[in-house]
Parts: sequence; C-alpha cells; structure tokens
Amino acid sequence: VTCEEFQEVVSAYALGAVDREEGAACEAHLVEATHRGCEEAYRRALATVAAMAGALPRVAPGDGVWRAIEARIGTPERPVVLPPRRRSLGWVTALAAAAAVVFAALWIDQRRTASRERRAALDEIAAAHHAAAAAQQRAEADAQARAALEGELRGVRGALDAQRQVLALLGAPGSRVVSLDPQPGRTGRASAVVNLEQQRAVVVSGSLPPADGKTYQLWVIRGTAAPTPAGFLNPSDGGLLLGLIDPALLTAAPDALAVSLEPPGGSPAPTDVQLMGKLAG
Amino acid sequence: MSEWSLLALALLVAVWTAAGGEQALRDLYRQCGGRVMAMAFRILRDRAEAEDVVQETFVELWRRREAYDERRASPAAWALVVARSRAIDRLRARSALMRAQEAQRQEPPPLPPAVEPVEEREERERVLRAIAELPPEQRQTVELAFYGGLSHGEIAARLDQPLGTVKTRVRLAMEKLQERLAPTAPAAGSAP
Repeated sequence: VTCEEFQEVVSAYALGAVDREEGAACEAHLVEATHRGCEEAYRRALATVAAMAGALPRVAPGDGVWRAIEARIGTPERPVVLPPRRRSLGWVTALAAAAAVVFAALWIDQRRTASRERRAALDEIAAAHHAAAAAQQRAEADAQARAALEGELRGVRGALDAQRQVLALLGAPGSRVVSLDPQPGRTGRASAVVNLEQQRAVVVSGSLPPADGKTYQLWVIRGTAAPTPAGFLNPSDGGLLLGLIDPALLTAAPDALAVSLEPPGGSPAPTDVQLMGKLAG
Repeated sequence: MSEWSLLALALLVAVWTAAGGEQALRDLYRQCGGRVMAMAFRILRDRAEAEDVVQETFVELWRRREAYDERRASPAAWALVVARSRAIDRLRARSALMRAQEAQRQEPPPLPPAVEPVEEREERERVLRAIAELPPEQRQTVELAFYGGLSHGEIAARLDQPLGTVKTRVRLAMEKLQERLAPTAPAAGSAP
C-alpha cells in the first residue's frame, strides 16, 4: 500500500468499513517509517469518527460502572497521598527520602496486592451469588412457562394425540420450556419444549395469526452462524400449531429458536421473523 | 546526584505518574463516559451491554496506556474509537438473525439523556446538521458502517449496490463530514 492508496481509504479504515485484508494492509502501512501525510490523515479521520458520536445526546452510565472500572484497574479507593516536592535534596535527605519512598512503594504494593486479593475473593462470591440467582430466575421462568403451556394445552377441547405427546415430553426428566416472544411489530407467542437428552423439541402455539397462504417455519440458531431451517409449524386439532424441531439439530444445545413466516415450502434463510426465544444464558 | 538520589527520584516519578494516570483516566471518564455510553447503547440497544462496553473501554485504555499515541488521536477520540470497536465486536458476536432483526428496528428504546449544557447541545446540533446535509444514500451508507459496524462488502449486499458505489459513497460522506466537523472535533463535554 502506498501513501496515496492509504489516504484513499483512510476514512473508511478509521470507520472500520474496510474488509479484513484491506484493514491489515492499512495497519501495516501505518507502522512504516516514512509517510507523506498518512498519520495526519488518519488522525483527522479518527477525529471525524469520534465527532460523529457527538450526534447522540450523552447518557450517564450507571453509578456502579466507574466503581467496577476502579476495581478492575486496581485503583485504591482513596487517592495516593504523595509527599510534597522539595526544591533541592541534600545527600542525607535524599537517602532518607529514597528509603521512605522505597518503603512507601513496598507498602503500597503490598496494600494493593491485599486489596486485589480481597476484591478477587469478593468478585468470586458475587459471581457465585449471581450465578445462583440467575439459575433461580431461570428455574422460575421455566416453571411459569411450563404452567402456562400446560394450561394452554389442557384448555383445548378434544382428545388430541399430538398434544398428549407434547404433555408427555413436558413431563419427561430434563425437559425445559422456552418462551418464544414476538419480534417488534409482530404478535402471538409460542412455547418450545426442549429435551436435549432425548434429542426432542416441539414448538406449540395457540396465538399466532393465520399464515394466509404462507407457512410458519422453524429455525435453530447457534452463535454467529446463519440460522438453520428446522421444520415447520403445522395446524393441529383445537386450533393449535405444532412443530417438531429436526432431531438432527439437537445433538448440541441451540442458542435460540425462532419462527418466521415464509412462502409455502419454506425458505433457505428467514425472511420475516415473527418469534424468537433464547435457550442459552 | 548519587545513585540513591536517582533511585529516589525515579521512584517518586513513578508514584506521581501512576497517581496522575489514574486521575487522568478519571478525568477522561468524566469528560466522555456519557458519550461512550450513548454510542455503545445506540449500537447495541441494550443498557447492560452498553455499560459493559463502557467498563471494558476504560479498563482497556488503562491497560494500553503505554501504547497511546497522542499524534494519532486525542484521548477522547481514542476512547470513543475503542468503545465503538468493542461495541461492534459484541454486535458481530450476536447471531446473523438477531443482527438482522436489530437492523430492522428504527430506533432503540430511549434512555434518559444526561443533563446537557448549552454549548454541548449546540455542538450536537452541529453534528446532526452535518450528517443530515449528506445526500440520503451517503448518509444511509455511513450510518450502516458507523452504527451497524458493516464493511463495504456487507453494505453492498445489504443495499444491493455495487461494491465500488458503496466505497465511493463512504469516502465522499466521510470527506464531507471531516470538512464540516473538523474545527472542533471531537465533541466532548464535562459530565459523563
């Protein structure tokens, strides 16, 4: 990359809009010894990117954010008290000052280490409490979703084989219920009963609007990978929509499940997502 | 000066520097923490995640303070650039589907803005004007890059436009913004 070429893309580079190879070439160029205005051009571009953030009204972070930063960088709660500066030091005074500063430095270091250890211990305890609270919260959410789904299923009249199967899966050890919530501007809900030990998962909904010639398609989502088609929601007795997630997709826990509205026969990638529910976290 | 005196002086300087560095970080947080938070929230649309980004940003600034090069960026610009990068990292870590859903939303749910001094409001209005005066296609392109963290190629695919067209739009938009925002960039106030 020449200086001219760099300066041609510098604003996009500062904006992070260049692709990986181009970005690497720009980085490599910046560390070269001689330039014709590249550093200045990069500085101006970075300043512009930073200035663009000025379009947003500032929002105060929560009170705990600075305290968390202090804890992570090991800053003492109170500022270090520094000895006053002296204009000149005699040899003896300098020696005494040196000894005092060495001891002070050692003391501060020891105090910081102790403080860091205390903080680490407190962090561990807090993390354990947090994990326990999160687990409790998940269990409560699961119980609520489970009760709602049981009510929904039992409230539908008729002897419904598919529903019996869902209820059986719901009662199986290791099953959990995940609520699939509507995306912005969408309506309806669904519940998914997921049992990874049995590699079975079923999605049930009694409140999605009519598909009007389209079809409700199921999706499994993992990490940053593209969503995987996982089956369809089909009308069942009692006005319910039921769909089995493809068992081959349940060898490992998905991060999320989704329902989208697609043309008949489905789509290779979701085009109109209606509902989504996270399994992870 | 003796070796002991030199050692004492060096230690003194080290202690002063560490304390000064902490104070400098605190000052920087007061100066632009609110701006960092606003930008992270605009990108991630989630308060808790935005606060995590604020925390990560200032911890990273502290840990990499030796690498800071004042010739490349002012401290506030550096903080905002690091924060934007961390927020976009998080955005990219989300699944493609979730990102697609987020991109469909026009605006995130509002958070209460911090108290805004008159001069800061005027500066913000100046930035908004500069962005609003861009031709619509340039504005859309640069906003997808700035808030969505999309690359030229991703923007081209999203907008169904040739790659060269997208590159030109980004370059022209950034040149115009640079010209209009340069005199007082970067914006920074006095409260988080």
